[in-house]
Amino acid sequence: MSAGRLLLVDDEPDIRMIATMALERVGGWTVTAAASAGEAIAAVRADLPDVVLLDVMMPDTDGPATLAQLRPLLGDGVPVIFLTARGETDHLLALGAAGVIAKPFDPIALPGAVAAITAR
Amino acid sequence: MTRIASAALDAPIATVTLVDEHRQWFKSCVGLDGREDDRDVSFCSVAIEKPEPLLIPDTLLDPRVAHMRVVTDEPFLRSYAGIPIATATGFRVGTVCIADTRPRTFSAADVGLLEDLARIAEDELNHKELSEALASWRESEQRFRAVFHDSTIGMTMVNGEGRLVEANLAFAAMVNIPPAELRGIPIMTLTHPADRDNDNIKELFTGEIDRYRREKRYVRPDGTWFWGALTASMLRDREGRPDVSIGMIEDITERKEVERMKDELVSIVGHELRTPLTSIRGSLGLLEAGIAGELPAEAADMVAIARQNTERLSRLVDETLDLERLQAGRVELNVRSVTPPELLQSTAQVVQRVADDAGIELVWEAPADLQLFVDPDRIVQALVNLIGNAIKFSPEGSSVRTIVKAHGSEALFTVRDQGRGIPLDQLDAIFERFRQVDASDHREKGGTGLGLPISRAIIEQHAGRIWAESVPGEGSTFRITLPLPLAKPPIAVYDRRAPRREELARAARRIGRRVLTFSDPETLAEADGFVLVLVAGAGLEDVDPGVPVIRIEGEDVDAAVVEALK
Repeated sequence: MSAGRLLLVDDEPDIRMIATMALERVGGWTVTAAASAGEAIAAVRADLPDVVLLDVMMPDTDGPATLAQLRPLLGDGVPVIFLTARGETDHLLALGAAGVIAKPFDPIALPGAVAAITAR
Repeated sequence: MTRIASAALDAPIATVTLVDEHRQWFKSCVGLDGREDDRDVSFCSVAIEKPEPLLIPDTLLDPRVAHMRVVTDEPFLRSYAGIPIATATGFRVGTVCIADTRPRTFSAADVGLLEDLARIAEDELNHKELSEALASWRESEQRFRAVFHDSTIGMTMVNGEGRLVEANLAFAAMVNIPPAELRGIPIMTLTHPADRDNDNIKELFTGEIDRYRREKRYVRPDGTWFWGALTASMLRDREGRPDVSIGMIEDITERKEVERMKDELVSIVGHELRTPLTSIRGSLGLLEAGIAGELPAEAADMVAIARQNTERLSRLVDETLDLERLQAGRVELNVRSVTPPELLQSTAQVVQRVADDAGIELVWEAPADLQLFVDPDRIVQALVNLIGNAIKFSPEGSSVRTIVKAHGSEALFTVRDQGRGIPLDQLDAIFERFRQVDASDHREKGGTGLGLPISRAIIEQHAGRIWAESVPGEGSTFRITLPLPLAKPPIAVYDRRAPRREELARAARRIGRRVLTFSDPETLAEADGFVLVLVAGAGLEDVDPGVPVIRIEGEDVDAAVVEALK
């Protein structure tokens, strides 16, 4: 049984693989992974996700800029959660994020953290 | 001169006498033996009490001198005439005088002659004084010149207008401008634009400070620059008024470069290590949890070892970066008002589970009526380190007590355990990097060896102290002090313009208030519990800082701040 469709956007392939495995096997999500803003937009157009996990620090188009591009496609109903290595929660929430998860994260605990934010 | 006096006035004794607090001595003398006398029994000490001539026709009839040894005993002096001589500043230092063994009267001509001689003696005395002073002044000036000009450290003299009066060869070479052309140049034109704010030269001339040190960049005409460590102090004139500021400038470009490279290296290595470590740890975590399939028991053990050590390595990297940033002063404290129980509650949230697992009881004791102005996250980090250590080194079933008390103008935190204690010779060393008491500790207890150095850096940044006490075998006690805010509420100073902001902050500090400065209205929300001082025209009209605002008008900031905060 799937918890839902989750779009993961991160430029680092290792993180994409580890997070995907944890979210699918532990959390029961159906995960689509994107490496850039462009891939994320294509993925959203192809299949609207239930949740987006978005890395803040990415080359070219960073997390907040990617969110600005995704938001018109997602509408207000799809929660977006930022992944960040910097302790900058407040201004990310101000951008309309549903929550922030600190990097580095414990992969086993990641599905629980996502669930805690989407349950709000 | 005494021969002239003796002959012209027909007196057997004539002297030029100098008198100090205790004695008198003869500068020149006719008719008397010896060079010195006790001042208490001398005519001259009587004569210098007044500027007028002292005439004694008969010593036996004058109660001031009749008892003196020179009257009652050899040479049985019966008459005396003395004219005081004075220094240029009017201080009477001696006499020109004659004395006789018989009583006599002194005519106006006698006195006139003695007075003329006294003036000559005075001139000679003053000329000698002056030339001696001049010589010693020249000598000290020459010494100063030599130090100033020949020094390999750059030296400058700057006047009250901020212009260079003089600079030495070393400084001229540093900025690559001939010394003659430096004269009259405003010192700020040689200062890198980014470093022109916050220079203290003005305070030096107003007398608020006597000296200051700062590091700043100096620019050369070709646009290149160098880092200089400047020490500036004030030369004052004889009345104590500021004359010129003397600056000593050392080229520290190389040191700065090394510092920058070290910082960069630490930061790059840190971040480059972090990323792969995160991936390794994540992968091992998933393997260990059997996400990629159940592992054989031996493989699971090895993966667990790999995961635990990766975690240790990550912690080491994180803490090294943290310590580096703290020691470089690059960690900005998010200071706000908290009570000790709030700090201890946050600490307990982290350490309680560790204590429960180790079978250690945690005891807390803290007054709620103390207010601290600290960065709560950072103080909790330090307390977690201390209490975490205490738990690690405590035997099962024992307790770790954390007590907070007000102690004078400080809050005193005490963390006491019943563990094995710390040898006395290590009480200081444990606050240095990688200095655990026992080399095996880092394996058995899992620490990085950086917890205490980090705690010390945090506490010291809060202007507090941290130290350890111990009775080996009976346990260790760690203590932290943090300054308590003064009774009056601290003040948030806001102004976009750095010099004006600093001026306000200084004025408020001078009247004993704690001050936090803000340049960004967005961050003013953190100024909870503050009185807000604001300069007129600085903006902020659209922002509600949520605290009282006091507007400081006019140019005399000091007076206005005192008035406003009274």
